[in-house]
Amino acid sequence: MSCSPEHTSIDLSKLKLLNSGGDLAEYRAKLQGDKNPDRKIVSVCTGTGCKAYKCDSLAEALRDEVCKAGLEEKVEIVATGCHGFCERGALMVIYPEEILYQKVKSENAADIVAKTLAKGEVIEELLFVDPVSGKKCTKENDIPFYKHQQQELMHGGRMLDPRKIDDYIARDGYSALVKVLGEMKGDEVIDQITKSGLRGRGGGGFPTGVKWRTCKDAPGEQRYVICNADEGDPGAYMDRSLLEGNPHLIIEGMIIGAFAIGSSQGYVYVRNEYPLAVSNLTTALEQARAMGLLGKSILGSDFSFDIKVVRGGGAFVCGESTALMASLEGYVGEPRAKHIHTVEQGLYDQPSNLNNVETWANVPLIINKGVDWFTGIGTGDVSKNPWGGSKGTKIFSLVGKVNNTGLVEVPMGATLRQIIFDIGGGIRDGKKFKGVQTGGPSGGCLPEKFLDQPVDFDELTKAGSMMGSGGMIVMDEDTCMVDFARYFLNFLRDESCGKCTTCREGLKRMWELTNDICEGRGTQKHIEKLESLAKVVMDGSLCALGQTAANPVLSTLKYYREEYEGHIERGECIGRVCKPLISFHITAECNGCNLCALNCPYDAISGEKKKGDTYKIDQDKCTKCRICYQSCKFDAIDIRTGTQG
Amino acid sequence: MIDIVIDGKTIQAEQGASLLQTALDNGIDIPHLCYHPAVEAYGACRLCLVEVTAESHGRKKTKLTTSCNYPVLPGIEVVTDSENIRENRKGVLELLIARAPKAKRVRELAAEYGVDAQAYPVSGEECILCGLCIQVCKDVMGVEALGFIGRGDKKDVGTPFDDLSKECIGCASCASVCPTQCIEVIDTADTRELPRWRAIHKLVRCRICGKAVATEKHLAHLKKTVNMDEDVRSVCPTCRREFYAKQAMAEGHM
Ligand SMILES: Cc1cc2nc3c(=O)[nH]c(=O)nc-3n(C[C@H](O)[C@H](O)[C@H](O)COP(=O)(O)O)c2cc1C
Ligand code: SF4
Ligand code: SF4
Ligand code: FES
Repeated sequence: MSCSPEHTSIDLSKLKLLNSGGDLAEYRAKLQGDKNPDRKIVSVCTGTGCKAYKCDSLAEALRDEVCKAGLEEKVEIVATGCHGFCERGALMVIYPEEILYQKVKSENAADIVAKTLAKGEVIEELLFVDPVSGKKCTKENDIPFYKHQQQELMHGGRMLDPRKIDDYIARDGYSALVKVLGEMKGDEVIDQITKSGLRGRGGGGFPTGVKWRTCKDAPGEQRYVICNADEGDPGAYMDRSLLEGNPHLIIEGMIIGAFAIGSSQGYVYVRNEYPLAVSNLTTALEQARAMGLLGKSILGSDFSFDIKVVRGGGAFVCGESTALMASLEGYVGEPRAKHIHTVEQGLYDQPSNLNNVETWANVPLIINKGVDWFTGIGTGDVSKNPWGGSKGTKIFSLVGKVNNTGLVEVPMGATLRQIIFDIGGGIRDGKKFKGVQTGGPSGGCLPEKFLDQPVDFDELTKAGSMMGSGGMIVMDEDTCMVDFARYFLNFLRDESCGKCTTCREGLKRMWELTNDICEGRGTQKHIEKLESLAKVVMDGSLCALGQTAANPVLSTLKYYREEYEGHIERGECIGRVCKPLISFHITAECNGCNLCALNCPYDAISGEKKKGDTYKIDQDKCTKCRICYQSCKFDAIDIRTGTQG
Repeated sequence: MIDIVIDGKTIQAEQGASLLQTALDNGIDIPHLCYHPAVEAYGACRLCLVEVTAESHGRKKTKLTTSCNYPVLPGIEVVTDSENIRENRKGVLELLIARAPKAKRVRELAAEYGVDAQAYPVSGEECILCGLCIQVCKDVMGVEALGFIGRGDKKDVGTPFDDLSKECIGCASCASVCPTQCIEVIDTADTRELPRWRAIHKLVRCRICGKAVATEKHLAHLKKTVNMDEDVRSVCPTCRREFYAKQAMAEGHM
């Protein structure tokens, strides 16, 4: 191999057209045989999360250095999709040793090649230090964030360059498709998916096999399969990461679904803000088409199917099934009446099967590894009833006040404690856990007593929250739960399509009510009104956006009612967030360093430069910007609220 | 025709027809604001809520749903009045009256349901975003002068780019269907103004009696869509009838 620059765009005409499953197997064997089996693989994360850390240039620099050192036969640099641990980017892992380097810069490339790749020496400075134990971790699996995960869906993407179909094929890609086309009937595929207990990962948790069956049986001339990649939940990005990092997995899932249902046309509806996902997916589709894995007579069979990529309408509500289909047809993304199901009459009034990205990603795995493997992971019993449990893994987007944030994949039924404390490393800065919001804006907020709750579709619903698409926001003691509910109301009143009076006006009024409470104008009546209005918004709205929009308010009212009452009765915000209810004061701890006075942008602080309590904050000038609080090195700034104030 | 049950009574209805219309035809009143028989039900105001019990997957399920856009289906049972329904309609009216405090129909319904008109601070847009004006303009008149703008609580109805619409023909059909009567039409000697759409049109007056006939653009639009004698184009309907009557007499038909 010569030291040629890496070609990111692959010449489609050079790809081999495969005419049968046998062709594919042969091609795979050749790909595997071409490479030195003892080579080291350096997996460099180049997902959107890491792009900010210039991971592209890191991958290039590593390639250059490998070349210079003459190691190209022994080392392969793979620019992969997201590894999940985005806050530690740029990330890279060296296999088979599994040495993980974090916060890597291009400047480190020479060192990494000379020391680690050539001589096997570990570079200490690039290792991850566990903020909880203070220990340095050499291997990926020494890191609690990875150790406690079960990466079934995400791990595949770790070893491959999403822009190269060869990488996917070499790792057994499209073998599930070969199995389905060669050995199975559509009904058998549906049967397997039903028996596996796979339930929709997009929010509703509807059994996928049951949906496929209904779609297949519905009368229609054309049937469509659609992938929902609109992903609008604030802070969630598991679908983006799957599409960016392993697009062929989704494509393969969709081809299998189309075969089972009897569809010849598919769509991927991708959120407009996901340019890298669109680009990687488009590249993947072109390559699959060029190789005969997509399009007319797939792998020489009489089954034809193709996929179009459509960019989303840019609104959260466009992820809702009927709005999504309206948007696909070129209309405004507004939900329509629900008495007709889209599986029976959806896109262009034809039977249309919509599944979430992660749902599709599970399909090839189930076909390859089998129903028993899948039902062996998770909770409940789905052997008689596909609603009987939650099977497989689920990817969560863990954000908020935890030590380790990122994408985490765990078996269904893992407890909140495992996710937040074992994987997430617990709460930052030694603060106390206050609650966790699951299910995004339609979900609910659960307090400490639910930490040992297994996370699955039914348990979360029972607790008053929901799985949703997998957003997980962790809150510490410095969070105000009324403010938190207000935040989601604000998001939803903006994102509602505005059709239903109940949703549009109702959410606006609920926002006003929580705003009044946060700003110290709340009364007991506000709480009563919030509760009665929540019911009208839920009962009277057309789509699930409105029907679930009150959940954050209702769950915080249920589990944190005393906070609402504190605001109302005592003017107290115990999270010390609501500005009208807090005030800043300098305590006797003051060392007289003058830093706060220097930093205050409003000139509200003055005093004599000496120890003791000479520094004072002028309450009339103070805008509660928190800068003094954040800059004081002596913890001498006190935020008071309620009766202390 | 199939049998459905509304409030315990069995009623003959056409499958697929609007449940709201069917109820109204049978003398059962359901409050509604955004429904108009001339256009497809949009289901925005959420006032026409009823409880429908239907079978799905072998189980009977009751749910609250809007009746205007719910079709008559075999075997459904409908309840149009219950504690739950009234509470929800009341909640909807509280929201609506804050938006449209001057609208006569909203006020009447609010009074009927014992709604506290001060439940929320009045925002007073008067338009309740029912979409009827948009639909009538497009589907009845065949013009597309109006549309929704934005989404969420900033949603509005208006002309493209909020500018004087090139499409508007000044027919005022929108004003005639608006349930809150918030589309003002001001006719002067030779102009018609629709301030809500920032439209001013030239008004044609009847060449016989001098009454307003229609705007110039409306007449031009009619020329394209309706076959009409050139002679009567700028004549008001009353005079037009007389004109035809005279003509008929002259020709000896009467
Ligand atoms: C307001 C709203 C937004 C939604 N957004 C998404 C989304 O971004 N992605 C998604 O897969 N499902 C979303 N859903 C759920 C979809 O309507 C639908 O249930 C799902 O795509 C079905 O796929 P599944 O069965 O594989 O989960 C949304 C639903 C609502 C009401
Ligand atoms: S519930 Fe909200 S988002 Fe859904 S259709 Fe009604 S207004 Fe639109
Ligand atoms: S102006 Fe009138 S008809 Fe048009 S949307 Fe508003 S309330 Fe409905
Ligand atoms: S009349 Fe049915 S929603 Fe308005």
